[in-house]
Amino acid sequence: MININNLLTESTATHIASGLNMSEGFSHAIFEASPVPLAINDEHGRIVMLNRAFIQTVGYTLDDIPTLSDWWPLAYPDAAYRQRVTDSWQINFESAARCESPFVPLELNIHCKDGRGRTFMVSAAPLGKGFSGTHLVILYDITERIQAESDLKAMQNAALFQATFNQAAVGIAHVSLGGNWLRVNDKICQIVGYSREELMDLTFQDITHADDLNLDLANSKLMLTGEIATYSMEKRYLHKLGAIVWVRLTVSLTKKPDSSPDYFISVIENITPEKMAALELKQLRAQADMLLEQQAIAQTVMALAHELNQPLNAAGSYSEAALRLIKMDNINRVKLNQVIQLSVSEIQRAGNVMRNLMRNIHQSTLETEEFELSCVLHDTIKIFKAAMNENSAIVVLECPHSEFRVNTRRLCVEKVLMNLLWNAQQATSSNTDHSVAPTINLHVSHQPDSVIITVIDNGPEIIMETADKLFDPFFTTKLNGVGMGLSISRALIESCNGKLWYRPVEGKTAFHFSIKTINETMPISAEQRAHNMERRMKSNRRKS
Amino acid sequence: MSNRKIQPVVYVVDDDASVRHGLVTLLEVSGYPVEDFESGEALLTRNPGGWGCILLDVRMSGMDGLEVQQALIKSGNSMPVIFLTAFSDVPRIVRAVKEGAKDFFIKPVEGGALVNRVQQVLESYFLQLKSEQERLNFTSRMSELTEREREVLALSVEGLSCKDIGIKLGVSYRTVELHRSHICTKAGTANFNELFQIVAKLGYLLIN
Repeated sequence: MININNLLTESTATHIASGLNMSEGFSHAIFEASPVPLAINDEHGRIVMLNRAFIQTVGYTLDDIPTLSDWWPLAYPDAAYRQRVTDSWQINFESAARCESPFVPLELNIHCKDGRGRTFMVSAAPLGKGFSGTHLVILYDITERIQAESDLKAMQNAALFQATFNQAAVGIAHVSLGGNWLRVNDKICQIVGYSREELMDLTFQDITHADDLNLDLANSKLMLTGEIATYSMEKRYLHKLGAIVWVRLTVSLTKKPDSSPDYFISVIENITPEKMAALELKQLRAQADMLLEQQAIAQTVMALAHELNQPLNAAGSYSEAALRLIKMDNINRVKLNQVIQLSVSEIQRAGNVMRNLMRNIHQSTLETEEFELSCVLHDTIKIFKAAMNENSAIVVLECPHSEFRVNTRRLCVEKVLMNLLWNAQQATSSNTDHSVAPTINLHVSHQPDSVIITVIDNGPEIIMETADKLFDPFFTTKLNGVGMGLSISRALIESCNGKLWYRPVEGKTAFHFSIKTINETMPISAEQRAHNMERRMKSNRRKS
Repeated sequence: MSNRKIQPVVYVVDDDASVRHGLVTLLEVSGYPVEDFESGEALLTRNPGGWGCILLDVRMSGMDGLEVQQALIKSGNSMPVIFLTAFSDVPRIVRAVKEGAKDFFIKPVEGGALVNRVQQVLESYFLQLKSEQERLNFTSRMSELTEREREVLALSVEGLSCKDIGIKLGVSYRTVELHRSHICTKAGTANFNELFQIVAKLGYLLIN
């Protein structure tokens, strides 16, 4: 081995080289012939020797890097990385020196002279007794191995991705910012019926149902501007064969390294069966409701017809008998008079049937009571929304004053309001413009001695021709209605001394009904209310 | 119908007193004797016969009109029935008409039309009754024929002459002529031609 003490005193490169030659020509041969890049540094930070492998692999010669100070910036051009390397090197070096243990190798990315980066496992070994003196630096090139490893990893990832993409139970697609399908899996093709090639020629706009497109585009715009991170919606695609396919779409956005938007990732789940089931259920329910309503009406009408038929039949018989009596040669005036009297009394009987019926209808809605109108409005809206489940239109109640005391049949008011809300709901849901949220506005305004409740919906407008017939019994524009709602409502409100009428407000369908208020408690100020209360208490005291 | 001395009776059955009274008044003014009943049961108890017709309400407490009709058919009463009914009962009435009801009127009934129909039904029932009566009379007269007279009649209907009948029965054609004269006397006809006309009209079968 080299006499380290000699080396310590003689410190020029030539000297060391000749020293090496002198002491161990054999070692030099090995140094030069090693396929592993090697360098020898001295204790002053000078690089004294580089073998052929080093020059071939790393590229630098002793002219380029006579000292470590020259080496560091060339090998590690990135200042931060260089700092880390020098620090780690120093630590490992010192620790090896201190403990007289082997140098712990470092994996370093070295910038070679040809401009490429290569990865080396760099180790060091003392050439004398310790690390403080001349030492050998071994740079084992692992670039290829690392590349191979990372290639393998990338391949594995790609395979994993491909499997996930293709075998997912939901449709997955990458969609360009312009809406072109970039990558789609088999499931999407299956859902919309187009082959992969056909889809590539289409945009998502092409196969989206026209009524859902605006919302979808609005959502993706919000995502592009960064206002939302993802969105999820139920929408309709048009299947290649023309059928509508309901899907639940969840979209997120991938970004480029510079954080600008790159492409959308859409996850598409076919929910057509559940949608169809829900729709069917809804239709069944509506049919059942209609049947019940029709049955109730049929029974009522039959009972009414029977009640009316009897006196009408009798009156008809008497009238015909009277006609025959008149035609006789010698008119029996007494008999004729009697028969006509009987006919008249039967017609009166028919009238009584009608009057009783009306009285029954009114009585069934109970006695009048004094109540706060706004409470009834709030309660009815609550019941209505509950009955509609989540399908209710938005109901906005505008009630300028909280005090509207009325004295009338509470059930009548509730029933009429419910009927009007129900009509409004149906009108809004028949709206074909899906960009407008179905909304029902309830407006309360007061007149000198009454309060007017207005129900406005943003459904399709009522044509004036039909407006005239609105209140006729059995008139309806609904496919599954019987047309009794409005005529019953009007009868109910009239039984409460109110009115029900139709007059559009700002081009929107609006029904109005009025209820008499109790004059004393017209909308009043808090002071007045306190005053009234005091007065009432005083008079009570006087009575007792 | 000169020989009609008896008057037809209209039987009105309705559980509503004013409907019943209205019908009675109309029919009486129109010249018919009327009997009225407040239930089907009451009518069945009376079991009317002879010339007449029944106005029967369908919807009644107790037996309904259709049940009353069935009971009449069962008891062999052939008096024609006109139903009075509500519109909703029409499908049931169709069956009743198939089983022999003459007609049905939907309440409220048009009085004039009802009286006209009653008249028609009564006239056609009169003819039916008359032919039944004639058949009955004829049958009872024919039952007085002797065995030999029956044989002669049967062979005459087959178109055999007196001579051929005589050869067939082993008697002289004179004897056959005598039998035939007896047959005409018993049947109340002047000659065999007239006898055959009656048989054709009444559909009476001479095959024993």
